[in-house]
Amino acid sequence: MRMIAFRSFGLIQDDLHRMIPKLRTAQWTVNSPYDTEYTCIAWAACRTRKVWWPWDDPGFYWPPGFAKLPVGSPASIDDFAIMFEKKFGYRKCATKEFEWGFQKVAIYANTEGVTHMSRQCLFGEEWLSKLGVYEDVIHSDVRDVEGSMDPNAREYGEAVQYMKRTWPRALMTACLFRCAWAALKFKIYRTVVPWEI
Amino acid sequence: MEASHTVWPCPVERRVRRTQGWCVSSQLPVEKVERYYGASLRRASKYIEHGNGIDRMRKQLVASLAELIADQDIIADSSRDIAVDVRTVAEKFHEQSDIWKRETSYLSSPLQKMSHPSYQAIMGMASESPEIKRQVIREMLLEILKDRRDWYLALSFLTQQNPVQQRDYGIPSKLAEAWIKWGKSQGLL
Repeated sequence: MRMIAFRSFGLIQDDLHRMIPKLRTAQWTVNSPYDTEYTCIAWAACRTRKVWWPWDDPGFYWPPGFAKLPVGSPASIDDFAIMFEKKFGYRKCATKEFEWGFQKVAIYANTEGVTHMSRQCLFGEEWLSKLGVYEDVIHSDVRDVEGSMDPNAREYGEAVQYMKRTWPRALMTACLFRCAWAALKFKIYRTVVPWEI
Repeated sequence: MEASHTVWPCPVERRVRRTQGWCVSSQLPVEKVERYYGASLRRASKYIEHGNGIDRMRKQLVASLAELIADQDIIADSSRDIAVDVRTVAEKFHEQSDIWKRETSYLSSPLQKMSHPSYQAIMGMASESPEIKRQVIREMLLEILKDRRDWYLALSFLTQQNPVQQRDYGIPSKLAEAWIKWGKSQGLL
């Protein structure tokens, strides 16, 4: 059984404001429930069923054919960029700005290695971030979840690499449908159960 | 000053006093003292000796009791320490685990999660002794059962086991099922 929890907005806000200080002044909304089944890398790849990370341990999934790292190794930007390029058709790009006809992802890293990934909404400028096992949020700017580059600060560091792919390529990987289904499930639940539960 | 050395009342003294006035004990004739005080002095000396004996016995008894109490304190302390330790393993685990959950749930990087001091503290606890390690593993399994807390990596490391089928890698619900089944087979749950 997967563990999903619909937490009150106040609780989510308290947690996220405490852990990601930039969200205090940013515009963001909650897009999915608390879910232990997937984290940010899977969500950037439009998946909601596995925890993705390039470590050689049963606790993590990494697509076959891509090198896995020993447990405890820092993951480099290239480990993610190569996988996203070969498996999902992304190409490295320089800017975070929305481009008509393209979907983008951002790779965040601190001085130690990769920490987080965000995906741009398919038809919009907002960014989607699954915050660990916490909720998936939509934030207006890619920098809204950035933090210190110091690994001891336990923050996401900065968005250091952007990648983009075309809309047809995104539709081929069923990204749109998976995201729409995940969002729809959440919205249906929220129409039944009000926020402050 | 001389009055402090005076033996009074006594028949010898009274007699002497009548004739020579006040006298001190050192000036009393020995034979007279022996005659009048001999028996009572011997009785007194026996009594003092007996008293000293009782005193020694009492002192010995007190010393023995003190030793016994000290021993009991040590036993009580050590039993209390053991009780505290037993309680502490579970309590410490939950204390650290809750901090770890609260401060790392928003992180996706397992490296960041692993380097959290609470995670390190728990792994340190598990390395103290095989019994504590077993208890820590049990607590981890209980937390997986309760709220799917992300202990899979720690369990792999502590048990050096892999009960997860390859097709289920990275799927927390399947990992939980596999580890809970393993825990039951090991008598931990």
